Amino acid sequence: MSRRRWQRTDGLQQRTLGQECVVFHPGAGTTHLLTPAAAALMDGLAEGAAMDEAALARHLGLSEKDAEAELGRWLSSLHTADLIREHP
Amino acid sequence: MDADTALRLALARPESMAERTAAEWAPLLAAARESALLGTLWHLADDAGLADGLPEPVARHLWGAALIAEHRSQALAWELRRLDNGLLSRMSPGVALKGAAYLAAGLPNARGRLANDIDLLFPRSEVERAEKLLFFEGWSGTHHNVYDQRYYREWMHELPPLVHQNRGTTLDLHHNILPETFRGHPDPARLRQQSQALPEPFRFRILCPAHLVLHAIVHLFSETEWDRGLRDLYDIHVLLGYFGARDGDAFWEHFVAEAEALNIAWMAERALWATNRLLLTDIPPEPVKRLARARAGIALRGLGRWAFVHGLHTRAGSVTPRRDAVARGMLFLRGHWLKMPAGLLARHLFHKAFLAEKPETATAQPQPEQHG
Amino acid sequence: MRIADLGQARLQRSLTGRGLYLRTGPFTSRIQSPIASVARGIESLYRDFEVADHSSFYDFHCELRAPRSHRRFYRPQVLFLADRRSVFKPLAYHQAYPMLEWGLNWCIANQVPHRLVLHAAALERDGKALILPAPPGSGKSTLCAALAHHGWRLLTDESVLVDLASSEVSGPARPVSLKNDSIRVIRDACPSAVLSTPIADTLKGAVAHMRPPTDAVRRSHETARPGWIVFPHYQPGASTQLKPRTAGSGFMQLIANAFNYAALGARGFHSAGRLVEQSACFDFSYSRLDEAIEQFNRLADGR
Repeated sequence: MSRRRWQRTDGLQQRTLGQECVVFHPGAGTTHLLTPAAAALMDGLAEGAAMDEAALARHLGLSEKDAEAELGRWLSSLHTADLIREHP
Repeated sequence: MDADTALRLALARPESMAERTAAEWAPLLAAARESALLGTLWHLADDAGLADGLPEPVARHLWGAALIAEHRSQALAWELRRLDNGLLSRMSPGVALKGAAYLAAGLPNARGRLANDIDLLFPRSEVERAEKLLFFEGWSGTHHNVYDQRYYREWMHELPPLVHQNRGTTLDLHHNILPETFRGHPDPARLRQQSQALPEPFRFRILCPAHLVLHAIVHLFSETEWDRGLRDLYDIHVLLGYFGARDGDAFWEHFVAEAEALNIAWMAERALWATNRLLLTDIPPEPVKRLARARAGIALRGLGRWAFVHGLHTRAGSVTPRRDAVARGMLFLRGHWLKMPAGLLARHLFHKAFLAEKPETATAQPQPEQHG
Repeated sequence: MRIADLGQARLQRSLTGRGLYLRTGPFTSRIQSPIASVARGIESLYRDFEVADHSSFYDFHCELRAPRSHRRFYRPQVLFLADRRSVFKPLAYHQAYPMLEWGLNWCIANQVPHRLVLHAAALERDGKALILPAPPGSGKSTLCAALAHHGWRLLTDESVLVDLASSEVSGPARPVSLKNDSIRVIRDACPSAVLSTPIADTLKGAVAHMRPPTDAVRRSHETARPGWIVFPHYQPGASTQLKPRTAGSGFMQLIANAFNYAALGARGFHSAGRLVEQSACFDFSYSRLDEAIEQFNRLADGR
């Protein structure tokens, strides 16, 4: 697994609605409905703090094999929506 | 008091808003809405300590408009940072103009201002490279027909507007502040050379104070549509007051010298007259005296001033709609006349009238049934 | 003073003079028009609404008149002007009244910056709001008109107002717009309903408007707490079915039906979020109006 570190975009607005979670990006003006997995992933990323992918996989309770298969896909969709960015 | 007069007075002397009756407020709000100045009025009232004393429905409209402007500014600042950190960082930094500049520099007219587009200035030799880089970040052109492409690329001071595919934001890439064909057009190198850095995190630069105001003036005077004219004049009013108070004579000295060096002293002369006359801007006698030689002859001066005052009336608030329409017609023709030599102008207006397709982004009126 | 107290002559004088200052819920509209069908429509459908005097504030300034051109004499047309600017394509002259209704809807959708404005119908019962957001053709207005005569208080047929801080729900309680078959359906289901004479040839087919019940007009200043958000779907032959929908997808569907959500930014997001949190979300498909009314009454009674 790569050692890339991720952090959440500053200033996002987030609300939990039942089992789901909606996020508003004030800059882009976009609203996203997150899947439970994506919501859990966002929860792991506190404002201002960066986490590497191994730590994120542990936070989500993923086995190494599942992490390999799923985590990259989730991260990539959150990144495309500019909800997370790679920590330099 | 008629709504246009009340609106200008509110901008010039915010404390006057305390005297407005409920009946005066309604058309005043309509005039401010038309001029995109509702959010501005909220901040002016708030700063003057009047916000709590406003009639409740008035306060709601003003506050709501300020809220929308605040969100728009937030989105614009984000878009600017994103542009700054994106592919444009491979080029020497561009200069942010107008709304983007006011916002990034935190100038007082930015509060409550409903910013629309992003305007960036690059050297002419680099502007098309910027356009190509931006394409990879989702920005694409809007004007696809051959005539419009030629109109912008050969004769104008900016490329055809770019629109972001996902977000719909409009971005104009400029290489000058006036068209190539404008009578006596300014040297853009001068603008870039004197441009100033913005505070972190921006790489973009902004024009120096004198150029910033002169650009606002140019924008107002070269317009062919005067719908937002009062807002442009208000920008000029605030910027003159702000830089005049901050830098004193040094600002005014530089302002006059640059107006002359850029061949736009005649516009500056008219703008100082108009902002003093309509918004009671405090202008020292020295720059007025020095710019007096750029004044029009006595006959044209009167006519020009008449057209100017009427052109700045709103449709919602004016008590002289017929005269305003004549003035707007004159200003439309003058705007085009200044933009292009006569032959080109005739060709352009002919094309627009008879040959042009309807633009894709037409602000065509909707069908009323959509609202029922 | 109410429209009914004003009388026909004074109503006409107001409309042709400085304007009729009409109060609808939280808004006052200044309406000017020389057109007789506009005056007749207002007299009948706004009978119970309050009129303000000319020293009052107004939120919207509307004018309906013929364009100033030679077409005045040949296939005459009508324009709707807001703040003295024409905002729609012109319509045939005899469609002036529905155009007034559509124009007032336009004003709320475009000139209300201090509330979240949803494209939806809403009704109230026991202090709780039922919101019916839906695109045209979903049977939202038919349901709305029927419920307004079966135990629910009409808040609005077209524009739901959501307070940005509290997410309380209100509406202007204006006439309900009915189209084509739903005109007959409502005449049958609600014998006491007062409808305007249908205009047959609009772009949407036949259009009539229903006068809001008197009680709804009198209480149009009362807000309601969030209760239910139901996405209706009329389908010929469909059985009556109310299915829970997750809050998240309800939220996304709700904001897709908001006029000014995008403009309001984070405030709009939180306002809509609070509204959905405090509401139960459902999808509703139906074809029979009587069963639909019964279903909503069960919902309100918690059965």
